[in-house]
Amino acid sequence: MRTLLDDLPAEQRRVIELAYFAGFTHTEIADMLTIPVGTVKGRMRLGLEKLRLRMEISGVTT
Amino acid sequence: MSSCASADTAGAYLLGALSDDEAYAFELHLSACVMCQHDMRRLEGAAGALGTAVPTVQAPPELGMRIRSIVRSEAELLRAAGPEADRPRSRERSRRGLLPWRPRLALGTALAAGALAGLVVGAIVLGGSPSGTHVFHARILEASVTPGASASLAVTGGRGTLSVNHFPSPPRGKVYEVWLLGPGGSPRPTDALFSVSSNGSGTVAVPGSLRGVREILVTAEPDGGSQKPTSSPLLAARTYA
Repeated sequence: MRTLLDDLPAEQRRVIELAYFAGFTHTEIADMLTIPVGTVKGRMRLGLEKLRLRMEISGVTT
Repeated sequence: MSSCASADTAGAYLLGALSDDEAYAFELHLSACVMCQHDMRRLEGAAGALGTAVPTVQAPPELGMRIRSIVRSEAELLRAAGPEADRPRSRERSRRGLLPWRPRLALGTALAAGALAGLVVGAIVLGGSPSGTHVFHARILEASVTPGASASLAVTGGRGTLSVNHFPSPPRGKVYEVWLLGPGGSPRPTDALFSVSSNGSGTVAVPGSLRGVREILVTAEPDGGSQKPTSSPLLAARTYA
């Protein structure tokens, strides 16, 4: 799972890590990275979507 | 794909990135929105699996401010360096454990780092920041460490955060442990244990105040850490200019 996460595009991996592992909200992340809140949410969604697809391909189950 | 005004909110909700009020509002919305229900079902498996990516580490309460400072600094550097600066490197295996769901108070050492082998580091002040953060660059002397490896210690308000880049993973069954070296010369153990991400980078908070601490040391120790170093220091960074 770690490898799948690391293989995400850096901008998607970063927002996921900051939210999930460090506990920041999307507005805090947007402030830190100086990008719009909508961009943060979009990257989160895209990142999770790619993780889902790669989990399916790799046979990773939850 | 959808006309729902909350189309991208499911991901943020599943990652625990909404405030309590926002999460409550989204839950109300979710009960009536088929599109968001579909998003939730599709993404919840991936979000839930994130917990298998890293071990659980309880974050000290002051860590949030330090992370904000570091991320801001990194974002500024990346913007200045261009789009190629943050491209992922080739894969390396890393060892991770479990992290509880929506770990508001937990910090995965996925964001932490380290991998070292007999380093001694001299500290060079790279610069201060308006927020009072001083970054000390670590000079790596050990030839076996990954070429291009680097480490730095960011000190803000007497507290430190160690970052490494392009470091190898610790040996199997071991983790990296941070030690505090005072004037007495005997390193004091900390609960700052870390590994590195697959691209060899990461950040770990140095617990407690650096007051009276001369250097930060890092060694490779058996999983769970040690009370006394079992190997030579792999990295050392001064805590002052």
